[in-house]
Amino acid sequence: MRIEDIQVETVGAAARLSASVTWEDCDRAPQRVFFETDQEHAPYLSCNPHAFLVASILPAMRHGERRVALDAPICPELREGLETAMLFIRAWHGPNREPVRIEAGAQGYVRFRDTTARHTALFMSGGIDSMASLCANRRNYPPDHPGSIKSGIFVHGFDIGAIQGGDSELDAFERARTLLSTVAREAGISLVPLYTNVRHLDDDIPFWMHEFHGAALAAAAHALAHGFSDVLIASTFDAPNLEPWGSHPLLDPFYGSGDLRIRHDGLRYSRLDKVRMISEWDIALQNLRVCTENPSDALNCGSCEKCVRTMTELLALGKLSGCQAFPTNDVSRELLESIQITNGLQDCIYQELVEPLSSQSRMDLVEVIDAKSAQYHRQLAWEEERDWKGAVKRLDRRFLRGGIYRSYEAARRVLLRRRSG
Amino acid sequence: MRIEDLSTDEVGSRYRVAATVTWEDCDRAPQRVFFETEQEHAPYLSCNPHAFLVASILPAMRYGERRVAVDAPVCPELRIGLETAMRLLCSWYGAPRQPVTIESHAGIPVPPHETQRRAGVFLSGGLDSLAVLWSNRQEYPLDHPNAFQVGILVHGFDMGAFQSGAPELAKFEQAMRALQPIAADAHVLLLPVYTNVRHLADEVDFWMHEFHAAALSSVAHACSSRLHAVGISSTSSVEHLHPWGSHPLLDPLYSSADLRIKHEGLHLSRLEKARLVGEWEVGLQALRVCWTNPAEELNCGACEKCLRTMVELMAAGKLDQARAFPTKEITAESILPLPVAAPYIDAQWLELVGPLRELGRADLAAAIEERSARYRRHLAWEEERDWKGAVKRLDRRFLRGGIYRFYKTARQVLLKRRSG
Repeated sequence: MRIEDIQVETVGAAARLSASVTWEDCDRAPQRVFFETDQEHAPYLSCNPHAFLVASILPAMRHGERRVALDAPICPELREGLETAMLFIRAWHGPNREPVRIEAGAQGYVRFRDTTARHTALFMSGGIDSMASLCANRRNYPPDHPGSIKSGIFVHGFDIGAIQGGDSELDAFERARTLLSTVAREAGISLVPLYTNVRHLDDDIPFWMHEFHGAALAAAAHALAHGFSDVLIASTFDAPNLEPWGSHPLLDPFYGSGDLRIRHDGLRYSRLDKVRMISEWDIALQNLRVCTENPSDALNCGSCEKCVRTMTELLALGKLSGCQAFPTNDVSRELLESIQITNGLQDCIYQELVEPLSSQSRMDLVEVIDAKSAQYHRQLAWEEERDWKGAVKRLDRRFLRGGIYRSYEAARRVLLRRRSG
Repeated sequence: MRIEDLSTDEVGSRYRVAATVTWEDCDRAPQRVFFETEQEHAPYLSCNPHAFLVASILPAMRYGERRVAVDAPVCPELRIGLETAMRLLCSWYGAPRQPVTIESHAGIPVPPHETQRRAGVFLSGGLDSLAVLWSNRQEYPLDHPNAFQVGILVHGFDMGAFQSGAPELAKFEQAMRALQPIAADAHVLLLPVYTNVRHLADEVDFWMHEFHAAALSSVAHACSSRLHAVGISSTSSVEHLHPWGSHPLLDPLYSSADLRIKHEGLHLSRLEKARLVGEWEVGLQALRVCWTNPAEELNCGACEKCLRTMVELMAAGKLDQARAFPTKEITAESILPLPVAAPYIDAQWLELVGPLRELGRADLAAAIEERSARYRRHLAWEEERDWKGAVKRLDRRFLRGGIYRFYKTARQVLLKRRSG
């Protein structure tokens, strides 16, 4: 892969940083990758090659590129960090991913900020994690502290306008931006809009979730590095429940460079701690946007798993009735039954709700959570071959060379043929 | 626990910062915790309350203290980091650990605008820290903010570790002398720091599995008037990370707004580190990997760590040139009886099998594989993954331990008959 022709220009009312990305070892068309912001924040953009290197390295690795080459000096800290991040991704997701060689211009240290004064920013989506990070930061840091958040970065092209060839969802973005501006004003921070097509380098959803999104956010931070010294990515998990994920405390800091620190923020707090913090800050509570369905006429659809989860959490804390961000202010047994627990994080989050829901006498919801959790654990035991069927499968493979499985498959085919015949 | 009475002092030829640590919920005597350096380096040390907080928090958790109260401002980044570190350790090692409350009513310090502070790295003379230093020197231009300019050697951690043991000052002086040419060649200032932080809780297991990075970070905080970032060299590689007292998840949590603690060298495997140091003549001749602290030599040449490093240097084609070990003779017989303390050590040995075969040392490769197989069988037994484990689990689950009780009784009867 080659990254070339990096430039900053004005495009209409926007300032744009862009570069050409050319794939060398796989059959994919060249792409012009860009980051855009409004004129007010144009000084934050600079001809920063780090933005494109961080954006491209994991898609390059996924598609078997042997190198990422760019004719610009790269910070040695970033280079080392990217090499480490690729090793983590390979350790987590399989040895078919080979780390990509980074070929950069002459060694050197190029500063992309002309000041050493610190300026901290936070990626904001309007969801629980980033709202809680802002909330905790406001509580813990005095305004003159360098760790106090001064800007929120809101990105178009990640959860809104994500899919190449799909709806750009600019209306949904502008609506969410207006609401986030209200929160930003109250918190005393500026909201920086950023438009990018970085995700189009590879818009596969599991790749985005499990590997890429931390790097894509960090790439956006590097694009704006003229303005910031520290950029926070809000944590999805808390420390005791960490799992391999695209944004992770073992990945995000490795996307930093000598003059831009990327920090994974909020590991200290459980999901319920986060919801509690937000529920005590009315402006954040009323402007929550957790839904990934991006409905056209509301912030949240109120029926997807993420909406139902957040509504149940607010209900457990006695705060759902005072929240206008969702179409209803109660969670029925039927609504909770409509969702599925499909991963350890969700299971952990719902388990945390059992005690507060019990104390509110919502045993109907507790029963549903217990049943869903048990179902999830049965499924997991089956997948990991920890149940009795798994024991039979392992014995079969070890001592009978898969004879039972082959007989089962043959019998199944015969039965199916008879039924269809 | 209370941290009080922070002071600076001169003790002989050294400059000292100290605080009194008083235990509140367990029966332990108050301790005066100190950090010292030579007078010429005195500007590096400051009476930073963060140093004493980071030093005390895990011993406090270890001994069931309910709080650590500091009568000084505490940085919110550090406070949140320590709270997170405690949760992480609780999730790794479980009960009876409970996170300790941090109490400080003295406001929040706002760090000054960045001045000309430097980046440093902890040096022990071992393979991990020398490889990290040399890699940094080769990759980072000197004007980079994280180019190392200071190497810190600590007395009180691997030398003079135990409250009731020998201070091993002569050994420390020997290590300082060995590191001086390294520091000169790498253009870093060698900074000796003496501390008794480890005496807050000097059990070996606690040190290794939980405490040592916090202790190193406390030294870094004591030196933060001149340092903005300090590196701790990684023991493990990415593939073999496991809960350990220094870990890429833990170490950065000991940072404050004005001091960054970095876990360094994760991108290098142990063999890559040996190759890096092998190419650095000065580093190669001053390697000090041995924990037995022999009186006359840098390394005993017989312990597991010495032999592992020697074989690594052999695989890197550099053992013949290394004068830091008393012998260069390695046989399969010397490898076979060595203990394997952890899976990552087993992995470090196994990384050598291929290169050794290429070098024509199939005898050593075979010894490593045999030892590894033995270790894996032992591990399977410990974790009840072998057939005996399956019987034990069935016994506990369906027979309430009946087979085990029968076995124990039969064994006792047989032993009595034999002795009678």
